[in-house]
Amino acid sequence: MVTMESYTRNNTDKLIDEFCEVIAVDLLNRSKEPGVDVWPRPIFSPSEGVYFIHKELLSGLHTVLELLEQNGLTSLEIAKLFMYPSRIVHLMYQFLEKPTSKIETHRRTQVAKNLLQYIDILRNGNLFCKNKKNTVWSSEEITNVLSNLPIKNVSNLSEAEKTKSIVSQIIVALSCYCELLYFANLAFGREYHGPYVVNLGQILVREFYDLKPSFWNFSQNFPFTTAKFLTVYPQSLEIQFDFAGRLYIHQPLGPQLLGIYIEIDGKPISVENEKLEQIFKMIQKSINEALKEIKDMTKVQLMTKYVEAHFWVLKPLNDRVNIEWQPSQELYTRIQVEQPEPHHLRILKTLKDYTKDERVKIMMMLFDPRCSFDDIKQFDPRF
Amino acid sequence: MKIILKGAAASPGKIKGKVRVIKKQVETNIEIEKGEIIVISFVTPFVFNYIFKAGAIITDHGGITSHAANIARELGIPCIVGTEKATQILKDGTEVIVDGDNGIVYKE
Repeated sequence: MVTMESYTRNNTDKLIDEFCEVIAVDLLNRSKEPGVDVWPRPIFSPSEGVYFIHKELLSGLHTVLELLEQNGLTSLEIAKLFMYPSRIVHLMYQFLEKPTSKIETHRRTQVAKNLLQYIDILRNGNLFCKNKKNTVWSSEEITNVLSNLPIKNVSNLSEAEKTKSIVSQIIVALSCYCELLYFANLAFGREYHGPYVVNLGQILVREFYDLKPSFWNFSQNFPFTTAKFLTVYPQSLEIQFDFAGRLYIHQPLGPQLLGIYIEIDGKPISVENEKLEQIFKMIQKSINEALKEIKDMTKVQLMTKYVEAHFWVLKPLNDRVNIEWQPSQELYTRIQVEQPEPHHLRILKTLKDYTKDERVKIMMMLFDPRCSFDDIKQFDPRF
Repeated sequence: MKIILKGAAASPGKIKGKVRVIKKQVETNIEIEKGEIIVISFVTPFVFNYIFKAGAIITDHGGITSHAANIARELGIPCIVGTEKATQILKDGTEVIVDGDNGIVYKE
């Protein structure tokens, strides 16, 4: 039996230890049944996607990071190619399936260390969001934003309640659209960050980006690529984030909106109800086209998109070293012919048999890039 | 009032309304009446066309950061998640009270 004590003692890299613990605890706090309540379920489990993706994506990531370093890019420059931190965290779910050789384990460990460094850079030194804030903007950036962007006071608007309601509807619509593009990994297309405390209250920033990826047909007609919402809420509202960039709030958001600034494709949008309704209708039309396209897709077709969504995230890195972003032809063929059998899913299904502490230990080992399934089997032979 | 279901309180507020159980999660032609209580295993993006009419959301699965919870808090409607059996227990048309502050569903 591997005890928590020996498990930690045998692994000296504290940063990876901390990553494993933080992601395990967050995930188990999020849900009693990780992965059960997210799209692409009920068609297939995200774990089945990991089965196909993990090997090729993590090895491709190792290669591209090495090439970028060889080309002289600094860690800051590589971090900026990822654009936002939470999408990197979501790539790290690929560690759930395990390496099959020592060299693969070594490379994955290196990739994990690099990714943690990039997240740390993109969060201004607040890697694990320990203060429950996702600080994508530094204090200088937030000062700059406040002095340059005209945040509209919602209470000064003639139909304030209607404005609040349409803003909420647009944010929900964009989240649904992001989910259609990137499935459970909404963070591949959106970053929520903050809260940034200012005189007006606290600012929660919601950025939607990469809204027209080429691997979907429906996204080609989407009316814009990026949208940014600076929303101001009362100081009393408790806004918290976890490491994966998930928002923890216990109060309703929409009705408490105090101030708003919206940018679409880098241009400010006037906060008038007519204009906002127009934007909502455009998104609604695109979502309906997307739903029509997705509704009749087979499991294999949908799995192909799920896999492509992950590889798409690496496109900006691959572009810098002239590597195609798509998965290999071999992987496309495997999706067609192979029945996925994710080992980690078998383990996840047994989690309920364990105490909370044991569940955390198992999850930590699952996320640990240094662990093999043989290591985990020592915990429970049934694995 | 009789407690008929408990789950995690994901978005506050109390509302009385008629239950509408959504069995097919990948369906685009669902029509609901304004104020109906959506009962669903978990929320997928296919809820888009009717979620804005919902009075509240109740799910079988998921926690307080699930998509159902996020949508409900943004729209300011009550939500209870992780009830495990809402889609089995609740029936279409039944009038219930959803207490999103405490994660409880009552029947009068």
